[in-house]
Amino acid sequence: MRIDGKPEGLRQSMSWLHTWSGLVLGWLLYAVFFTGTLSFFRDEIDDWMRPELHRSVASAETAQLGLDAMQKLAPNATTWTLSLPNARQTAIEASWREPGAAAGRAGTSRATLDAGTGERIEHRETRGGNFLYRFHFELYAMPRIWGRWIVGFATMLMFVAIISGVITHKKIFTDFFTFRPRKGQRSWLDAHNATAVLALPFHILITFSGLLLLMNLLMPWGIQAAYNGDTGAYFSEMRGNRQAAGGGQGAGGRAQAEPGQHAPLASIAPLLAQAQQQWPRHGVGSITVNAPGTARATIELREGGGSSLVNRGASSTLLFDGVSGASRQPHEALAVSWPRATSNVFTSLHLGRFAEPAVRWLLFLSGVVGTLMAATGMVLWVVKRLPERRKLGYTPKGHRFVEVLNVGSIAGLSVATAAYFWFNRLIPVELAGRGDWEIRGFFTVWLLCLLHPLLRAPRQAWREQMAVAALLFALLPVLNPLTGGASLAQSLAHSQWSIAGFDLMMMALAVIHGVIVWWLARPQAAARPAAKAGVRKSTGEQKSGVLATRESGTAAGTAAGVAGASMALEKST
Amino acid sequence: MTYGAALLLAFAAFAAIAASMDRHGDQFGMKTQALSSGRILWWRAGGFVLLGVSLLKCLQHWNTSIAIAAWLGLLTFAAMALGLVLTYAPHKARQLACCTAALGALLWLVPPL
Repeated sequence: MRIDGKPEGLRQSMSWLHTWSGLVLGWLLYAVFFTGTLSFFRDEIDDWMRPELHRSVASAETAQLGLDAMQKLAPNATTWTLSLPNARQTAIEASWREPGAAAGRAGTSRATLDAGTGERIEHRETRGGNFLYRFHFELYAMPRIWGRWIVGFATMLMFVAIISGVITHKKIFTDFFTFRPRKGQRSWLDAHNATAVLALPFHILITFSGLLLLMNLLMPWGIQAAYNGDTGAYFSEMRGNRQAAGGGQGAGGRAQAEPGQHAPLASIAPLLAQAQQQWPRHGVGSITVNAPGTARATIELREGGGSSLVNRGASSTLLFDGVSGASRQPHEALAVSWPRATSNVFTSLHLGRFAEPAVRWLLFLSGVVGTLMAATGMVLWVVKRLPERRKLGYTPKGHRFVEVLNVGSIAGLSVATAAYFWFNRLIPVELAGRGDWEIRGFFTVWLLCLLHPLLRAPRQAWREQMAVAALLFALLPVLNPLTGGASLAQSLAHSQWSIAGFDLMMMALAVIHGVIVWWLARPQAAARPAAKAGVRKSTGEQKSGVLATRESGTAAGTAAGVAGASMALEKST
Repeated sequence: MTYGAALLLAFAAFAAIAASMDRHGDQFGMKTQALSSGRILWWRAGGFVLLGVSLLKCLQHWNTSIAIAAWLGLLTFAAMALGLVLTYAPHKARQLACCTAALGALLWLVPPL
């Protein structure tokens, strides 16, 4: 796309495509990456944002306490489901269906039970981690369909940016392990390349699976043609319902007909012990009781996590007679067809929907790398144009616009997210619609962060917002016990990993932002002598360097050949 | 153990591959220009074999689908670690690679917990 109409090579045109597709949706993609990465810890965030649950401490009797509580809470229900506390959840999440209740979600009643006492816990109204999770694929304050379209479109451009970026970056293999710090634009480019290339499998996976998850919305024509417009049939088959019809739900239905026969439920402890032996790795995740209190009752124990992605991380189950506690034959697992298996592997990875905490951490860290990739790319856009700006002697409006939006969307989102957690604790519990106020607070802070850099020099704006973010994150673990939550010492002592994990993650975020503040406060690069001849002694380093450059130190050993490489790359773009 | 073994072996594998590269060979005390292309090929092949061994460890621990995903994730961080070592402590890269290879092999033999 050259203005002068001269012919251009594939690499130039790809570079053009990469620069502009990256810039146009970069801010949105950054927000999607950021909130999406946090969503890998959605359950932990949910627990932390409901401090009323923090006193719930699991014990060996938790399952029995939960079942006893259900006896009082919903004695006539057709089915109970208890999701037991685990590393990501500190209380029992109970749900049940009353006889004659509406089908699906509408007919399901829910309660949160204290894992130590079995008492029902009334917690504050909050959207919790779900807000960040929803925001990452359907944004907010617009019809869901629009949000999904916008994010879907951005995801498609992200895919375009990945492919064009790989083509543009011709030294992809020779530069594989290369990072050259303190070299302005060169360092930014290295950081952008490293975060993109080294985590490429993750980036491709996450964008491609993101597209798969939104595929039915973006390209519905295939389904409409194959299923003659009956999209319901498609989704049903996708989930394997066609073959699986008549599962656990049937038992509850039959039991409804004969309420007279009362029978006490078998003791759960021996069943749990049996299950524990079978699943030493994941243990029991949830208990489903069908037709509780009747002679036909069954108890189904579900494993705490799946071990394969092919079946969407589905877990295995054990079925027992609800009265005698005798083992029964569970339903046969269904074979998974190849196309569905492929789709399942991608989508369940995207959703992080399986037990292994270490794998989720890997996904989370990869998400952080992706976030850094988006951030370094956008900063690079500005850094790259600094020489042009210097030549002009003034800052073009477009450049200033990008600069301001960079600060507000990158640093500002950190501040807004930290503020969201603060609002969770500071807005009075009894306030009507407080969940919405938390979200309004989030957007107000974000908006202020977008306006703030208009008034400040870019470097100062970066520094101030990063400092605020670091401070807000650092004080969250202190705020937690002061506003009714469990302190880090308590949560660690009681093995409440969801709460402790959140506090520790906030401390880690505080450290990351603090290092960036420290980095920005160092004497500016322009004041130091240039490292090597031939490398731009760019005053660009004034603004360069926020996210990727946590490292300090010398460029020893990597200087050779830098000049040539940087020249070649600059020419190519 | 699995993560440790797979990560350390991946680091050693990448180090072997880097040692065979023009840009990084010197940092490992190898004069890549002077080496015969055969020797370079051996280093590279050795690196890829080590990557395979690291994958094998993951496959032992997880179901195939999760193993491949986790392995790719570990590769990212192994490569990043090596990149940082080559940037900030290039003279230690060689020793470090030897240590990780040894430790990785040791952990490889430890049965999964």
